[in-house]
Amino acid sequence: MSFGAEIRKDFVLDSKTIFVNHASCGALPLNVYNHRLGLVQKMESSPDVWFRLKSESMWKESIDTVAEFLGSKPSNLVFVKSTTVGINAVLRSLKLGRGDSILISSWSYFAVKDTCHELERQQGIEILYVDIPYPLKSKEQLLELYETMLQKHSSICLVLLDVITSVPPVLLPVKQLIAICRKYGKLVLVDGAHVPGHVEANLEDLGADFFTGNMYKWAYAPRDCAVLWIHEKFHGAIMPPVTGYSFYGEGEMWRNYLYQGHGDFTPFYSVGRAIDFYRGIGGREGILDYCSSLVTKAADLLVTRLRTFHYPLPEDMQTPLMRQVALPKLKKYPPVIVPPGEVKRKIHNMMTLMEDILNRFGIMCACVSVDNRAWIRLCASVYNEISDYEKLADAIATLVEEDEEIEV
Amino acid sequence: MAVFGRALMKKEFMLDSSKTFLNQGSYGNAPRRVIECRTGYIRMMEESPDDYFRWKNEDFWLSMVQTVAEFIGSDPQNVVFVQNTTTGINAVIRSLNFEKGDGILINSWTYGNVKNICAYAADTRHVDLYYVDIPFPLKSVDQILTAYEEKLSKHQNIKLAIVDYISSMPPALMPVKEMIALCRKYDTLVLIDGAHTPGQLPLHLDQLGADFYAGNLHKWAFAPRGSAVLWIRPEFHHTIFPVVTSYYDKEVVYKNFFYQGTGDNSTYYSTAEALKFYQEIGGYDKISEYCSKLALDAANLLVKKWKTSLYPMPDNMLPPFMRLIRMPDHKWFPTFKTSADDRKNFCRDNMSLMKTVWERFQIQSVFISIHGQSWCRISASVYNEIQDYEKLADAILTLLDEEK
Repeated sequence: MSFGAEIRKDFVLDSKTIFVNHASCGALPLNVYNHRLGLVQKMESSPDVWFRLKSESMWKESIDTVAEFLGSKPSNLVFVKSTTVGINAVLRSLKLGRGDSILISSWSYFAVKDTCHELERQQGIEILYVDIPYPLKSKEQLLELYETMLQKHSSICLVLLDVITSVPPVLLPVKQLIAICRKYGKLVLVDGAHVPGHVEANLEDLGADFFTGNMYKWAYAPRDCAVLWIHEKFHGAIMPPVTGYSFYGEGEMWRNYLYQGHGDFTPFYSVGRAIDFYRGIGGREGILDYCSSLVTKAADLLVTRLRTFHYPLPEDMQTPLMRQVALPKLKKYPPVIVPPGEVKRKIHNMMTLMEDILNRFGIMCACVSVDNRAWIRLCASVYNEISDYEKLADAIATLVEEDEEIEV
Repeated sequence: MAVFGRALMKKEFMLDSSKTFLNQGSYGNAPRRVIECRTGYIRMMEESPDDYFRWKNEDFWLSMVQTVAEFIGSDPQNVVFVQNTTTGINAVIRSLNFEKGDGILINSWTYGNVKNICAYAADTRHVDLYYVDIPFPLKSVDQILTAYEEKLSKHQNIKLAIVDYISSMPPALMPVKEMIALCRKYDTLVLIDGAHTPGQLPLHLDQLGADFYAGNLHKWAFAPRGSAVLWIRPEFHHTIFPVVTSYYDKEVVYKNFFYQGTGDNSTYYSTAEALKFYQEIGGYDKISEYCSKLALDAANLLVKKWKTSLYPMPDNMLPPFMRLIRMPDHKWFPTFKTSADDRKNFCRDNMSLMKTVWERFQIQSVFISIHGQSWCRISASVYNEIQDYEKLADAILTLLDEEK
């Protein structure tokens, strides 16, 4: 399989820009894009037939396909538009209230934090945080932090765990964390936004109560395609955020998620084509073989050129396809200084810097401020090559020169 | 000005022009240029997703809200986009601070999804659900208003009334101004289900007097499926949040609705193109003139050919572009015994008949039973002509003939 510039042509991505941020928004293959548009055409040429006669079978067929891909029983899986929607569905359905607590962490995704605080406002639920130290020394240190929180707060009803966090990008020991939660009898909701296509998924063996993850990131589906896995014992209890046509108690769970009022659900029905593409280019093995070594090389290259360092993480907690590298201190782009103990707003996007790098150098990369420092969060995808990161290093070096001062 | 009817369908719409479509009311149909406009946004999103989401998205949103707000007679600050009316109504009900014992008032003609939302609220938030059974046959608007006054005066705990502007089944233009006035009299909040109104009626939402309104642009205003508006009275701007929390701003209401993760807002961004099309083919005056007359003529034709009647309601409640016509007495069009207050069996799709008429005659229409009787709901849109309804009339007569 020819990766890099060769396969780049098979993506819709604009050829004038270098993209090293697959993690945020994904990237769509032309093949899957055209397939999706074909479905839109079908829908528009005969909407009643599409919605009344075809939708259910397309849904079921697509669920079967993606269930097999994720090691899930089809009956436990529904489509949702994104992980954020999946998380909202679960948290809003659980009827938690005053006296109940939810445990998240300082590394939880910002939309997850916001959802939790909205529920705090609406329902009086207490939001507790595992405050992850900088630097994190080991897996064991993390497990201990969770054990301590769970021991200390018996009010915790549910723990929201990441498999792979977004910023910083970290592979968490999720099975061991779930075991600890089980020990204390807590419900577990797994934020697996980055899981499909990136790490192996076997949802029936995970041991969680709920899991939600995006198909449009590393599994090449169109945007607005994600899944929510619900343990059988909760099938009657977890309703989508929008109550639509069907209603629980009157039929199978999946109908509640299909009938969400009228809209365009072709991204769900394109998931089979996305999985075909994924497998066609080598599947997880082939993709990781290329991308994992590329992202490692890329991170090392930047660290060397910029004379900075890798985000300090235990080796066994590095994700396969993402890395975080320190940026040199730039007076023009200062990081956000967060007071100690502040967990809610620890992580920030550095929008001005990202915009300047895009506009001046034609490179799209994620620049973030976390732990009081500026970083680049790198991704390697099948359309990247090492020259992309060389150009990025050149761009940063130019900014540094212009900034006058360098510190290591 | 464009010519209406099948010529317009062939020129502008993606509908298969060898078939007949009489159901703009259910799913809407967007013209090809609007779908292409939308595809353009999807393409832009895929070519450079970060750029689109981080820097372009918000400008598109604000510009589109400006355009759509003008169309619906509203200050842009009161308007957000949502996927559909169902989502908008969910947002309002899930955000309002109901206490145990508070009431919500709906009626028998309230849309199925909305009934479900209220039932869910009743179940999970201990809200009391109140229901007006609209009489069958309905002789005058006053019957509805009297029933509402009775419920509102008897149950002072009713906090919110959900009122259709144009109901779906049966399709009816409700006395919305009078109902709002009644609710005000009893200090009840009003949420207007205006799913069918953008494009079918001229709207002046800032003057309507409601607290909330949700309506679809993808029905009669030719936008792509998945574009609707939620209008929120200023005093509630800091109270109403979207059903999915992604961004969380307590000050500026649109930011919470606009930022829903890396979701696809392209349907919203095509609404300007849809409204441009709407104006180009004649705007409200010409469209209304054509479609209203067509709906009237079509209904008369069907009633004559089938020897049946219209759904019994006052003339001033007939919606501009839809009609509900009684089916002939025949086993194809089942009837069953029920009473006016049988809520469970109020309205049921007749899927097998819809499928048969589609497969055999290539006609899409809605067949349904209400109060145990069999009906057909027709829509009259800019791509329809009287011959479409002749085909429908003959199709049904053919079925009747075959079964003799």
